[in-house]
Amino acid sequence: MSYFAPLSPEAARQLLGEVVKSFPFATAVLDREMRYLAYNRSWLSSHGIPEDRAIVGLRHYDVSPEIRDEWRQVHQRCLAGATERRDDDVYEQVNGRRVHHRWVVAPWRESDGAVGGIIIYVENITDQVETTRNLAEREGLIRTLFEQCPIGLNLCRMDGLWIESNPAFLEIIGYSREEADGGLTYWQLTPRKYDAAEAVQLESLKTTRRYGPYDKEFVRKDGRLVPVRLNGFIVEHDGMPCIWSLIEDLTEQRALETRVEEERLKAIHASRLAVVGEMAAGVAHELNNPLAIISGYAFTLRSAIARGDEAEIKEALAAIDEATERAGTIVKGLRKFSRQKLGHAPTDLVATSSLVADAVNLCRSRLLGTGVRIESDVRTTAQIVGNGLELSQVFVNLLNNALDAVAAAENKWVRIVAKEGQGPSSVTIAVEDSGPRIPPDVADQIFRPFFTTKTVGEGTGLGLSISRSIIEGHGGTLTLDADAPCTRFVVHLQKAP
Amino acid sequence: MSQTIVCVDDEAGICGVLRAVLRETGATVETFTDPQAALAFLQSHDVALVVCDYRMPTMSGLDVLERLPKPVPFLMMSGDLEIELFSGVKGVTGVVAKPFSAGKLIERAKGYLGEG
Repeated sequence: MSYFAPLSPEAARQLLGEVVKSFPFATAVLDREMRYLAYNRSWLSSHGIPEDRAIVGLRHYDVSPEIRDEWRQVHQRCLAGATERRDDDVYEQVNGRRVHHRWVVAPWRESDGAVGGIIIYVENITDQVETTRNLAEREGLIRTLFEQCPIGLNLCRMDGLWIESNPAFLEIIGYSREEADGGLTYWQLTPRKYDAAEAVQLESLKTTRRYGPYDKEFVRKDGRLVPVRLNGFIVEHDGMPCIWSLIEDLTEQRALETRVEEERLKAIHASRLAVVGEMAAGVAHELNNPLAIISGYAFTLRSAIARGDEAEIKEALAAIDEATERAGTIVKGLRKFSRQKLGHAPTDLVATSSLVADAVNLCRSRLLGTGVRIESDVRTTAQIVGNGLELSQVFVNLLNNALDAVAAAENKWVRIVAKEGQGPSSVTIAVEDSGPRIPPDVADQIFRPFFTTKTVGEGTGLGLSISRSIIEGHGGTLTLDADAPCTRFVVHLQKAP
Repeated sequence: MSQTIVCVDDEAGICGVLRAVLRETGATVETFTDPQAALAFLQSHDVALVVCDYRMPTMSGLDVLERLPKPVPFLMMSGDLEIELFSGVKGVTGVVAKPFSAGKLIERAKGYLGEG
């Protein structure tokens, strides 16, 4: 019984042609002599044969004489009854491009079972192969990046269960990969004190799908707290939203910050000692006067007593008393200035007027014999919360600079003016002098550490940079007023509430 | 007739003690807190010795030295740490560091008071 009505040979050939044409990849049917019986368009294009050329009845080797020997051998083996296939057959084209083919060559048989020819299927899979390889390469690249990245990377579910962690992150938290992937959660490593901050970050995730930068601590496996900065965003993973986090270890940065702060405090102290040194000469002069009075009268007292000159004895004793008291006042002022108070929170309540008066008094000894006029003008009763000692240091420093600046000027004056600031809660204290203006190119540099216009040995070059650091430490500013008609340094500070 | 010693110091306390101390030399001691007044006095008087402070607000000891109407023994006095530097200055006969020993100052002053 036959399912098909008998076909004429012509109809059979036509049908074969139609079937072959419908194949999605290059296909050809050949007879025993390797003559084409049927082929499709992909076959023509893959063999570089013009589309309009009719090749039925022509020999494959005549149409494509470049066919390689290995192919000819395949054809021979299949004509002998074998079926051959290759899943990825690579050959390099003349232009160097590697081409990948998947092919099958199989014999077809006559009704008597004899081989009538072969069928060749060839599929160009170069694009597929390259795409797969690119994907694999990219995957490998991403994996390497993940493994080698010095920043901690972690993928976790919305409930905090950790799905994947890179070695950098494992090092930060001190757990092994098995431990981290074995049910460890974000919450196990988060100290309770961060509850409120966590809520803020979760809210950010909900509204913006990102969070951070968020500075917190993790509890390491060894119990130590490690400071970290987190940034993250929501991604889809296995069909559910998860959080990718980037975790930076801030341990070294924090240590550096502490070191910088220590250096800053040390520099402030060193600068204070330098200012004290500069003042020592002036203070010596101040102290030597009362000492001269005391020792002089002590000498004359002897003869006055011997003579019984009561008036002179009284005069000498009164002068000694007065001189002693004066020396005491000078020493007290100096002690106040050099006392160690390093790193104390600025909590004194300092009156602007006493700040100005103290600074002027500490510098007054330098004025003698110099012809410099010093004026102070305080037009505010405001108080400042701060470290009185550090603030005095700033104004002594500014006044000392001003005194140096006017030394060679014809008209020598230095002025310190305190008044209400522009805002309702600020105070402005300006130090002005009649010395030469600071050139604009120098103005940019004067606040840098170790910058000085003074001769070697006269200035440390730290005064202004330290002064600015002190004022900024009090939440204020110290600037050079470039628009003023004279040299003018301006300090803005917050008033005490 | 007794000889005269002129003392100049802007600080009245120092003038007072110099007067008390130098009186013991037997000389007349004239003290001035204003250098200008001292120079005016020197213009019209012969004096045996000038003891003058270096650091004064209106005029320094060197200014006074420069303006002396005629040469006279001149002791520069100061509480400055570098006081010895003045001993090399022309016209400065000697230096007196504050605080000074009253006994020694009297001895030195006596050396400038001639027999006349």
